[in-house]
Amino acid sequence: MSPKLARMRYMKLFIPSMVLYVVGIFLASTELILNILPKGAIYGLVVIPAIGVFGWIYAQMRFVRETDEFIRKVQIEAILYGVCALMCVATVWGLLEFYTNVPKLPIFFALPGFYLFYGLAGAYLGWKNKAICSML
Amino acid sequence: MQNTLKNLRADKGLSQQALGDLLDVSRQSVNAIETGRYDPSLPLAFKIARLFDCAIEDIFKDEAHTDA
Repeated sequence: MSPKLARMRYMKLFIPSMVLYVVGIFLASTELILNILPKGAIYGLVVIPAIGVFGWIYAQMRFVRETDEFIRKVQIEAILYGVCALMCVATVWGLLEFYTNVPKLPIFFALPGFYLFYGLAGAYLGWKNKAICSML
Repeated sequence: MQNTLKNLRADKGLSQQALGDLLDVSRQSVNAIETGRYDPSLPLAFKIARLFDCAIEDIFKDEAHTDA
């Protein structure tokens, strides 16, 4: 498959998944909605953004599988940089939480944290390889 | 690994994008191979060789082997 087609297929799934994530987060963090919903429905509501996350990460996996080998290499490196940075921060912050009075960091921020590090790594690798990181 | 891809492409009057389209890879990939920042896989190297109707060794030079 050509990289252009792979990117088109990625965007086709990524955009609705991202919209679902944003809408899900908005609904799950709006107090008015949370106040009128029965407790059981809240459990269902918080699954909506997770479906969005699943959709866009699946789109990313598919893109990595379908694009050309050089872009795949850049993508995998960026993902690994992102995972590495997130794990390092989680280890340091986790130990600080055990032994000091630092505030507890909600686990919710793991995903935005990963994408922040992944985005920075993608931009750096794109600059280094003179290749636009197609996912960004 | 050194290669003569840039010259071969220029001889055919192809842009990096046009060559990428023929090889089913991105323009960035063609650029990375030409500048030696990325060594293609064997299937892609064969594809390049077939496109320019020559052997892989005519396009890609193993620096370590050449220096020996």
